[in-house]
Amino acid sequence: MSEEIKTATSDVIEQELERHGTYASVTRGPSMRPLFRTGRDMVIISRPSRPLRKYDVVVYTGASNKYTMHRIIAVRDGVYIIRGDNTYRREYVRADRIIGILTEYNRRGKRGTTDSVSYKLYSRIWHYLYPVRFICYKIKCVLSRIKHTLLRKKTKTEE
Amino acid sequence: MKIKSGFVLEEVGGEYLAVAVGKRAKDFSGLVRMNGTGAYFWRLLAERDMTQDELLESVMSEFEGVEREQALSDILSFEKKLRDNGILE
Repeated sequence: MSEEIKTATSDVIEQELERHGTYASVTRGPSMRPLFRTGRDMVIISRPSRPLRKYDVVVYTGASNKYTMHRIIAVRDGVYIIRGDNTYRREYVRADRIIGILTEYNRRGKRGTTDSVSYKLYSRIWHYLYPVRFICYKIKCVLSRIKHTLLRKKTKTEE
Repeated sequence: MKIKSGFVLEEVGGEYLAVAVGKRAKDFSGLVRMNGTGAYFWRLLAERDMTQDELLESVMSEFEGVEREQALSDILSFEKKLRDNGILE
């Protein structure tokens, strides 16, 4: 028998990828929505076996031993420009900080692979929609600011 | 023994990986890595409550040329690991 039980920390992820070439985890945080939802889906991370390219979803280490899983949106002079599917900020990540690549997943109980046509299509469409998503996001921000200002004024008048 | 609900098991390159999802992810944040035998046990125990004997009988009828003692010791070590990590009900 060779079953092993590990608890997740970025050290463990790196060790597991080094020893076995694979790692699995439940997804956390909203930054890769709508593809993955917190606690709902399982992702399988592998040690990269080919050069990384645009649209790859990669796991990289950041400050204080934290790790993040976001998507490569461009490669420039050996630096990866990375962004979460549901974030609006670019991150510049050096190759040596990338420890793994998303290869398979279980989404809503269904197995999926990053080689599938539907996944590739989703990755590209979602990427091309970025300008539209960005505008919607900004409008939402402005509306929520207006709402807050109005509420604050209302509370002041009531006082 | 029975495996708690809320675990997902997937095969990756001949190995089997299980993690907890949904509400279960709150009390189990680890990764279970198994070979084919472990995954066989896992699938049975995820489906229904089984005693060690039932599990042993099932293994003996499923796999040919397995020694009873070896199978039992595998089952015991599997059960212990699952129990120690709070994976069993």
